[in-house]
Amino acid sequence: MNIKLCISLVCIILIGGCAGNQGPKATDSRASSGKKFKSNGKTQPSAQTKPAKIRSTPPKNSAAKILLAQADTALTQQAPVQAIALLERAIRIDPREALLWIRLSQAHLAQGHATAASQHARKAIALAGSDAVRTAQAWLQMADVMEAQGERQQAASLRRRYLRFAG
Amino acid sequence: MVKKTPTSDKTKGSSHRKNSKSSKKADSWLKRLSNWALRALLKLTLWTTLFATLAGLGFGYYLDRTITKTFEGRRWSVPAQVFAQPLEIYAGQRIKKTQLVEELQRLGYHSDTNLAAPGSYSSSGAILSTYLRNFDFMEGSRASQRVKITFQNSIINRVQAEDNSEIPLIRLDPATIGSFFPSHGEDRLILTPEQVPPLLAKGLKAIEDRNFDKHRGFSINGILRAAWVNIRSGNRSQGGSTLTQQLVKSYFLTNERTYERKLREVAMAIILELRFSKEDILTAYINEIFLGQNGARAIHGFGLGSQFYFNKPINELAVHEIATMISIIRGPSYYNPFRHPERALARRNRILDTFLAGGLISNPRHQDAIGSALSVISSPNSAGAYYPAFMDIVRAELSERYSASDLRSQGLRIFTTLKPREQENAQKAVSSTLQMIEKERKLDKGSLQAASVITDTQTGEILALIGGRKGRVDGFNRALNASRSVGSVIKPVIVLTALESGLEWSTLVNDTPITMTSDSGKRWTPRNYDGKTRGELPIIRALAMSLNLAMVDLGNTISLGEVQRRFTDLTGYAPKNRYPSFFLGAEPMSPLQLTELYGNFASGGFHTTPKAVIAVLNEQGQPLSHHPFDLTQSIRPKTVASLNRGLEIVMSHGTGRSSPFAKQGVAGKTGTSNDNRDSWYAGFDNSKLSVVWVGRDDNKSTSLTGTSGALRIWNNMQISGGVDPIIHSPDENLVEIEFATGMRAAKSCADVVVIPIRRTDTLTVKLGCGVRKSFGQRLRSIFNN
Repeated sequence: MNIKLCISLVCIILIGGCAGNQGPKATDSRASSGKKFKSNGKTQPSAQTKPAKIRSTPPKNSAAKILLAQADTALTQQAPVQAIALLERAIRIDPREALLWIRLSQAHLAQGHATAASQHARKAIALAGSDAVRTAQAWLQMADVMEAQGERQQAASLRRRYLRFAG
Repeated sequence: MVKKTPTSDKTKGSSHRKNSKSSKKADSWLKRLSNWALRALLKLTLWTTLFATLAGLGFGYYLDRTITKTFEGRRWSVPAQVFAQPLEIYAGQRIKKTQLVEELQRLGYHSDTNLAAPGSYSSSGAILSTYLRNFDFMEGSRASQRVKITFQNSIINRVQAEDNSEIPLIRLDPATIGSFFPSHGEDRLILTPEQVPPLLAKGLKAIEDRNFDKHRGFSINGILRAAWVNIRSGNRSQGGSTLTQQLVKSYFLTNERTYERKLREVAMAIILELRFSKEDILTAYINEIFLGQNGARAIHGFGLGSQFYFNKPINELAVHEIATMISIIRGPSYYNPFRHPERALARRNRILDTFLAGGLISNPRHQDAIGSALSVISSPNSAGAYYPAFMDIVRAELSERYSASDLRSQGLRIFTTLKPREQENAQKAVSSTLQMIEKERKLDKGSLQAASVITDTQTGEILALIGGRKGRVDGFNRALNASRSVGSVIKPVIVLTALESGLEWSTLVNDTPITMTSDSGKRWTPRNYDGKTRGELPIIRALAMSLNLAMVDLGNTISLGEVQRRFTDLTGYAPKNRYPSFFLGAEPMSPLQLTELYGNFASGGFHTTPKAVIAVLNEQGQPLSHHPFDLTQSIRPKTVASLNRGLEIVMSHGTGRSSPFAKQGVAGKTGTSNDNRDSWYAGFDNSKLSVVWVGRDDNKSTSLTGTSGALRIWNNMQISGGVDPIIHSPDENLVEIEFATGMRAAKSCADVVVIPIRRTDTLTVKLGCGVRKSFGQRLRSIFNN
């Protein structure tokens, strides 16, 4: 069990390193939610604490993948309400895909709904299960939520803990 | 004034003069009187005329205002439309071709190999082609389009457009599941002038009012003809009304047949014609006219009439169907095509003849239409998607944000979570299983009732809601309003509290007789269902076998207060029963409340209030409210995963083991209330949570347990689609323990269950099983010895 865990962590670090620059959508939408922090009077994550880019493997379900892409576009265009509708539709199709819940959390955060964003990040963490990349993504989203809620220390601590899965 | 003349007695013929004088006097008096009367009459006439004119003008103004206000108001008073969840179509979607055809048929799509018009489909081999209708979704409009869907082993393999390009994702138009019509019962689907089929407009004029385009609201000829017929027959059977008069009658007047009412009708019709265009009046008529009654719901207008009688939109009606609709106007009850098909058919054919004679249709189309059957659906509500029980929860949910008047008149478009396929399947299972049980147990037919709620495990959205054994009938909604003792389905709350307090599934509890005394001195002596006791046994067995004495012992160990506090966390309300009988489910709950409780388990530890509404749009398609997923983490992931493992064992080893799906990765719990009054099952797989209740409305015994009643319904719900096994997290501390004793054991030597145990060193190892003791256990055994 422990050996398996070690191997998977090594693989994740390697993959994460290689894929550090391959996730424009995730990066864009994350930046978008950051802009919204500002517009909602919330603290924007500092450069030091802002998470590095993480490889964002798309959902396996083709329909969910398309809707996620559309939601990403909506988020970059600062249209979180539209993004929420698209992501909820995607979740109805593929409810156990943690990435969709992560994006839903981002969309709610962009809209200024920190409580909903926090709960959706928790949901993503619960669904990520043994997928370490998804788990890291979900926790980093939780860090964003915490930062927005003024819990900067906890956010920084989470980022320190999960940034090692990124390149 | 008459001039006075001087008189003299000496003058000749004085008497004559006297006579002449008096005669003159009388003449002048008469003259004066007549002049005065004339003037008075003139004045009276003038005043009367003035008053009459003023009164007439006032009344005319009043009528004009009333008519204009009502006409304008009615034109835009549109009941809210409620839509089901649209079916998503994409490669990889698990659905059989036959199921998709059923979905299309439910939406009123008809088979047509040419796919000539929207609302048609064609099935051949592994391919299903369909011409989808246009629809205004929440995110925008989707134009009608032809789509080719290829299946492979009950999965959609490809979705292609007409030009064979791939379509990654597309939706069917959603089913309309109901509307919020006003208390006077009038329901309608408003059509714009552009949506009215030309044949319907022309046909209406040809049948109901040939001079509609020429007259000014009334027809003298028509009234005279009607009056002649009435005089000859001695009663007032003929109306001679124009379409405008019919509309006025429908808006403002009663069905009373008097000449006074007729005069008002004519006056109002004239005002209406002066105020509005012919097109406005005809469209209003098409939207207004009464076309039938369905319980409390009055079917008004051709838009709704088309759905009600043919389960399709008006623009898809064939010639003979339009004729049938027009035939109903004359007498919605007399020509009711459901009750009097022959009568309706005869009138329809006469109307088709008129169409032909008036040049509205060609000879071949006439022949074709005459040869067609009535083709109405088999009975009211038998087709389409009419789900009154689900509508109740939509109404309840929306009542927090919208007034009843908004829902009834603002033309809102409400998008909901309902999946018609789930609803139909669940309703069928409820009805057929109850029939079967009544037959097997020789119970009175129709004595049993049932209710069910099915939700998505992850989102908490309600996919189906069954309020009773008859699905398409408005009535008491047991899923929302029947609050009944839940029996043993409450027990997982005790176990959850126990696990959270540090106890393990292997922890031993006492299944021995117990008597508890309340502060008031009332004694309570619970018993097991079979009356037996089993001594010490592990919690998992107590839960799986639903042993009352063991569960009361466990509840007492962790305290009633703790269990009830947890219950409140998970449901959002405090329990009503403050006594230990709460441990055994002496707590009234509705199926919906129980769904909310079990949603915490099925979702992997998140509380969400089951919801039915996704979004509300105004008539113009602008969003008014979005009802997002709303969840709150309520149980730690590892704890809920452990609890769910236990609930899977309830199915595989316990009271659920008779289910054909018991060992296929489903979790659940049965429940039976005192004297077998209520039979419950709450369970879930990976994707769906279902709660089922069976009982009697008079609260008498059903003789059913949770297993023999509610679980059987659940089993039948799963037959068509199978179950979606629960996905487990790989990092559970799974251990094999003996089901009977809770000792660590191996499959080879005992009936074991695999379940998470956090502290394996606390386990006693079953001897002779080849299971190695841990170092701690060995050390402990040395000290113990």
